[in-house]
Amino acid sequence: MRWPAAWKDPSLLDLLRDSPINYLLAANRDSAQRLTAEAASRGLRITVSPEPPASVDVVKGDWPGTKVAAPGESDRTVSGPTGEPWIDSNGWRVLLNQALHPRRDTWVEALPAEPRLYPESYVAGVADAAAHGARWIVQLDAKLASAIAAGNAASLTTWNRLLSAARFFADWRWPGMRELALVGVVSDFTGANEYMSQEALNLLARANQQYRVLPAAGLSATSLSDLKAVLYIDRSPPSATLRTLLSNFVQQGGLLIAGVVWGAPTGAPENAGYFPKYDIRQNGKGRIAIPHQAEDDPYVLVQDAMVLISHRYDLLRFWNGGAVRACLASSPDRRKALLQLVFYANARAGDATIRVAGAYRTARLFTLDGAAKDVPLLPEKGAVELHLPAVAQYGAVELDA
Amino acid sequence: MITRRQWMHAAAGLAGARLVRAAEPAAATVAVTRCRTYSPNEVVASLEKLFDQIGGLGRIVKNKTVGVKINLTGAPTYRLGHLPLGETHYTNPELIGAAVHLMGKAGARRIRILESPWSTAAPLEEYMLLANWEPIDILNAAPNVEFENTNYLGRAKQYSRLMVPGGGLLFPGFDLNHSYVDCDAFVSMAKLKEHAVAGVTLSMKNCFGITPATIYGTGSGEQEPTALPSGGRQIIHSGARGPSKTAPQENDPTTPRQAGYRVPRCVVDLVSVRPIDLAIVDGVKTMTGAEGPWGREAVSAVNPGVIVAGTNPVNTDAVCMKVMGFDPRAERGTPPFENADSIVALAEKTGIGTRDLSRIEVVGLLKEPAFDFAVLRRQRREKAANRDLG
Repeated sequence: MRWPAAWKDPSLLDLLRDSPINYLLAANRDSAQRLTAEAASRGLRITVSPEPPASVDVVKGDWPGTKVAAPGESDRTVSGPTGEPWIDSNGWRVLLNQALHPRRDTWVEALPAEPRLYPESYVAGVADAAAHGARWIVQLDAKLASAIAAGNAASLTTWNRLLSAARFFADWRWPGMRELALVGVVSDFTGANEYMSQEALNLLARANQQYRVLPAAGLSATSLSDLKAVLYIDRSPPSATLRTLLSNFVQQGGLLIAGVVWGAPTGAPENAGYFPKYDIRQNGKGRIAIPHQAEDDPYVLVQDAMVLISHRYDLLRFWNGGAVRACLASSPDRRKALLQLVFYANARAGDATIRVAGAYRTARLFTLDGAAKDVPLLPEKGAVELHLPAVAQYGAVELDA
Repeated sequence: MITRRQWMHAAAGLAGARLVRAAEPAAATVAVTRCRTYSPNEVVASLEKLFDQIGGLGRIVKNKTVGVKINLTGAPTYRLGHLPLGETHYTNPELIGAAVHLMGKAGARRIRILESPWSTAAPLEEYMLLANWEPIDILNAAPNVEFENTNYLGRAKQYSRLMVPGGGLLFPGFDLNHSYVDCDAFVSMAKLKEHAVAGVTLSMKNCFGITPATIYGTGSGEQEPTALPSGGRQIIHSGARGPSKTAPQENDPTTPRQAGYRVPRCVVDLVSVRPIDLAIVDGVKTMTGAEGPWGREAVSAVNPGVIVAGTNPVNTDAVCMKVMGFDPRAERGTPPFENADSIVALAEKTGIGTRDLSRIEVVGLLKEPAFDFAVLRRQRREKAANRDLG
């Protein structure tokens, strides 16, 4: 947590007693020393420092929530590629950092900002980072910090909700789960490739596609396992090793969507049908799709990719999901899955239905208030349909095969 | 013998030609049957019976390319509660599959399933997958079945211009996806529903969706069509601006800028340029209160358990209204047309068909409403009024 400037009274450290907050970022070294001494005198086991630990990467992000349209903005700014609400989430930034630096922890620095300064916004801030395996550096807007310091009851309720959400993730009960993905994005994610590759991650997330971040350096056949498709949209041609890996992925049944730098694809041409923009070739058991002309708009590229892959293979489909982001993971033996749902709207989402690919027999919903309840589940061909009750900012659905 | 497609092309070239109005608008047989579920066996048997009762399907589809406009209104990610879309506001996929199967059996040469899905140029199959449908079941229901998203240019190189015989009530003509011209028989497969603007939405109102959003949509280009569709058809509703300037503009920009005036007239113009050869209205399971879950009034799922079919859309929609408990001779100001002109009345005046039930041969159930939408509507509105007063 970043110690608020408005918290002059060190006795406010008591607000952290028995909380999951165990690291305080102070404004400077002096302040850190003072707070360390105060914490020790109060018997609080908290590290105070002006810097995060050396093992942590801090990712700068946006304050999570639904995008609010300003007058004159086109509807494209408020709805994502599937027409669903446009959500600012830091999930893709977290996953990118984890892929680039797998041995380091990721913290998210996202400053609470107008107009989303509701109690629910703070819970969404915690959940947005945590659902993706990171921690949000708790920060309070100045008004809330002052109100908490003054003992305002409503503000203390907001504070307690925030802590309760943080505690849920600190007591994480599903270790060892691995994210499931349909599509991977291969890139070095830097320099000339930064914009397209990172926007592709952002837009895939907005479309609630389950994706895997695949740094080109060190890519192996194992990292492509279980993927239906791979996007390679860097501006430079792949190295010989990478080309071989991706070609093998196609040979074994995958779909490669690559930029024009890939060169003319080989294999039997496929009827482009709805995709006259693409040269689509069957190659081994899979397909390669290369646009006839370079596509510079990541929005169009992701829309095309989702249809080229086909919604037939969606791991998740939503109805009445509203402003939701989902992360699907499974246990190594695939007997158990975990579906995490972050709802960014303030109102409780009701009547949401979710189709989850896979055969499961039971579903149990865990919410931040500690409640757990069975979720009605309808079996379908190769999937189950979950009928969720109203859920506030976060829910985790545990699925058992 | 001139085919329907040849007639359409000829009509398109006769801009300004006056429609010769018959002394009395046409009356054709309309069939109504009970169908309680969407089980394939029950649906096929029900449709087979209906088609026999209206003179057989072969005479409409044999050796023809058949365009079938289905109703997939609103985003496929929007459900009424947890219910599947086909049980509330979309034409049911089992019913579509059954109709396609019977059309194939009756000798249709090619069957094109058409719709302008919400704000996308993605293939219709992909849209159906998002709705949790299996498009392959429809594709395999008969030989030579295709899908086309008609919300944009689609597979053609240019839009097809169709002019309204008689000049049109709102628009003199439309630029449409080629599929509405490149078919010899046109089928409207609608859902039996109320509609927030038009009062009811049946086989004719279903055709509002044949307009491509690239030209008639909120995100359409003012000068020329956009490549991709975006948004709904609010510009037709409101008249705040015209369609893309490359398309025919409305006849009289001084007419009321009210959806209740504009939408019914636009629908009648569309049904005039693209005549409906077969109307099938799915009332097996549907909803009340609006055309989709987004309705402002209290909406609920209902099971009228009925399918209606006929070769004249005005006759068919008039019978549907009776099936729903409404008076097809109702005018503006009376339910369900409290705030809109009646599409069936305007279509009747245009000469497309009669809404006079005494002139329509109705085969099957019509002694009482299959499900009384009208009573529910009245109760719903009284409740809302009392709440407002309270």
